[in-house]
Amino acid sequence: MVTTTDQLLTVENLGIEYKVGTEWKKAVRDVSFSIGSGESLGLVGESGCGKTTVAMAIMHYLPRNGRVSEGSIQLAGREIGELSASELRRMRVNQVSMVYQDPGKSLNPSIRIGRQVADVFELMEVPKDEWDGRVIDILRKVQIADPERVVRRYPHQLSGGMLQRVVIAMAIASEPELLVLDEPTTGLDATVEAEVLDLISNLRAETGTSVLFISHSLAVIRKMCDRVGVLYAGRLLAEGPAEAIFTDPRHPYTVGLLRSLPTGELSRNEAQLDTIPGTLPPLGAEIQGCIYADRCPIVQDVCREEEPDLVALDGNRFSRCFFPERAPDLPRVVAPDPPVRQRSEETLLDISATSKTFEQEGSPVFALKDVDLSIRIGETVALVGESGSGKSTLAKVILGIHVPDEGAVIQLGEDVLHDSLHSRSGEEIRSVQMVFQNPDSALNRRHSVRRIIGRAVQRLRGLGRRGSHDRARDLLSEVRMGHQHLTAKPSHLSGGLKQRVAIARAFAGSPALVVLDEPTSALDVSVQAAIINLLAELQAEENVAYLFISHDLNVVRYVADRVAVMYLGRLMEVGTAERIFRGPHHPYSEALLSAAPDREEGTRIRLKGEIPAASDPPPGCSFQTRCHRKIGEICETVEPPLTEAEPGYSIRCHIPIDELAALQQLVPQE
Amino acid sequence: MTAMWVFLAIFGEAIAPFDPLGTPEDVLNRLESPSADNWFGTDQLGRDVFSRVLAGARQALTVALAATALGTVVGTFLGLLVGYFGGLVDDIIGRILDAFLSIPLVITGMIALTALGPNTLGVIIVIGLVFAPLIAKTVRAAVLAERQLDYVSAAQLRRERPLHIMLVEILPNVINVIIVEFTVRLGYAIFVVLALSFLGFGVEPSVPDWGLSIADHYQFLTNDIWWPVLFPAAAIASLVVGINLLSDAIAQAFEQ
Repeated sequence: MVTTTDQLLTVENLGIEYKVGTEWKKAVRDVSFSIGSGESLGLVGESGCGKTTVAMAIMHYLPRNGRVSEGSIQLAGREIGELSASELRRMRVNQVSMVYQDPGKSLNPSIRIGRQVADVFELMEVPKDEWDGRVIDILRKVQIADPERVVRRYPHQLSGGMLQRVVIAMAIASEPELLVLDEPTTGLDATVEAEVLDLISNLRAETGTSVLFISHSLAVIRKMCDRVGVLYAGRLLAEGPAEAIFTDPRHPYTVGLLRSLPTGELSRNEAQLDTIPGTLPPLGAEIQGCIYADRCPIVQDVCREEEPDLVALDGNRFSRCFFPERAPDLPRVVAPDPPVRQRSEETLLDISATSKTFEQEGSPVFALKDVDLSIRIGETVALVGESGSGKSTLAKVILGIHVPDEGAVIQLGEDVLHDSLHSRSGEEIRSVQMVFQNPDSALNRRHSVRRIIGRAVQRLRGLGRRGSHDRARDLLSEVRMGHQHLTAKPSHLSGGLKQRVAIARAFAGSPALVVLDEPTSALDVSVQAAIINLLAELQAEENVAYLFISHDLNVVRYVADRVAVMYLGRLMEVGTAERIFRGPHHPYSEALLSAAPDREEGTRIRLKGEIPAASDPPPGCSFQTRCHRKIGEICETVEPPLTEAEPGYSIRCHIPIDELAALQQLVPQE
Repeated sequence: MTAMWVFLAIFGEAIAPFDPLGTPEDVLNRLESPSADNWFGTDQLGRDVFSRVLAGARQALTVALAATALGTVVGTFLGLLVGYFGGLVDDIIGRILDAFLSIPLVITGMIALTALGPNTLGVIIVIGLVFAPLIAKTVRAAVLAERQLDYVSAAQLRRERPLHIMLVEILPNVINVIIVEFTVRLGYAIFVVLALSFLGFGVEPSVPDWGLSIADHYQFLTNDIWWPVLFPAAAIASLVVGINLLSDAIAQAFEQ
């Protein structure tokens, strides 16, 4: 990317405060960076680090209880804080556009897409008779295949990926000089995320727009940005070219973040993930010395006395650390040795011929179709697939929340599990428990930790109040939490601690199988690593099996023993994690794997269209409408069976496995 | 403002300068205009209007409070039931509640009280039961939102009884809504109680009651005798406005 010297956006010593109660608390301090025209800068950091606050300040759109307390923001040489209301309006129309995180929330649900996009042209004072044409053009530019149809739709009739395209279309309609993207792909499926990121890259290459890209995902930032700034507790801790920041980090925080990410080939049988100890300081905390000192493994006395400056290391990279040269050799916080597990070949749970059909407005929706899956004692089976693939439905059927259709047999050990929760015995209830995705929703916010865990112990163990409180305390220690948390309400705990409480609750009755529904996707990177380690340790201690639902393939690769890939309620491929990731793959898995943002450029397989509705599955192979390896008529007429192609590996595809192997040696063509 | 009326409801009778129920000799001073002795004047039986306004606070507040409390308890329970079970239960009970809601409140009250005869307990029960569906609707909406949350699924996964889930898990999370709803309804209840007594369907005639006082004296308005009507009416207005302000404040406090 061409980087010119004239800076489009210059942020200097920016400080932002929020009013909490009657006090002004500093959320961002002394943040400086600049974006040249055509350049893309990424701001990366965990939740609460001030990423979005900085973006809002640039748009001059802070909430009413926020203010810029110091420093300056200059866009094309003009100070944003000094613009009049009409100048500001003109700036937002012509110079800067922002794309917010949740596209569903940035569109008005009761206005047709076409009309909402036309608003932008109205603001740009484009003559009314040109609107329709311009709307179609701009939608085509964001690769919406059928814009004439889309303009007549309401937002709820479009998928998340499609909505995000519409929002991006609105943002680029005015050909802004700067595009601010706030987590534009969070919440989208991997394949859709890949498409949206490609779209943004293409648009940038075409228009030369500068981009400020905000994300918590290191992989996304790395892929999308020329330069990266790492924010922590409202401070910029490191800044520099993306490659340098990620391959040769020079700040202990960046090093810690990168180490807590499961990447590449690593499996949990080889090494534990490293973590960052401690928690983010609270908003507005006055800390003497380096803001990261409390969590830094190489902290020295000087770090607690003085705050280091953002010093230049070699020309164009900066680190706010006294000892940047020591960062690469940062000592590990967690010993690498993985916990010792006993493995067993004995089957714990066996699901066969399980289907689930829902009724929706009189027509059947096939959420699960003929699923056969077994989970061994103490094993982790990961369930992978896009949203709508039936992962959660399968989990709920196992848990007894949904009753499967006739003919399904779910066997736990020797016994056939009863269909519904009501007919299950206490023993069956105890044996299968669940950890939910979002601990905020999973923990009753009015109950104390003691009560949340204690009640589960009472119900699942049949203990009295006294005994249950003792056991709750033990469980809390098992998830590495102190007793001081027993009386806390969930709202007083951090995200990671809340998830630990939820895990403790699931383990209350010493279960044989725990369903983990995206247990780390709501958590920050450093917290995610700690939770994954904890789950691995608990598994080793209790010899419990996990059904791990996730869309993060790096996490799956790290935690899973075996992987099952689902599409439209069917299992497409089941095998050991090593086998699934090595290939040859099912064409669908191949596409999923290639969508990960840390994949090499150019190897991406683009899936055509969107996942079909489960109420109207395509004839033949369910994947044939999007398959890039479709061989012909047989795919459209005959549904391939799930066949065991190799020992312990099954695949549902008409293409023989050795042919797939041959095909996948080649880089696929567009 | 509300605090003043609550205080008067408790102590009003004690601090009233004259006996609100009047004494036989009062009849000699009928319908006197406000003076130093009788600040709000006297009514058609010569009773001190000021004393009666003070004492009337208790009647208005206790009946309205009891009625609202009854309505809230019944309505909350129905709302939890309907919101938690949804489906068929929601359809059946929900439609019945809708049917109830379509009948005008005061008319229902009048019919019921005609059958029961005028007594305080009857007023309480009738208003309480008429309010229940309204409160049930609000609680149902709140419960529906809570029901989506995973802690409810978690409770089901350890096979808690529905009653436990409703009362121990969900109820504490919707209590804010119920408190706000209670105060809003309390304001209405005062209006309805007094409207009913104004129409003669309320309480026994001797009790000092604002609605009844207005009913007894509005015929004199044409003769420029405004005090026996104006002061109780002002009392009603200030109490209802006060309670509404209070409920707004509570709602705001919960939002933060």
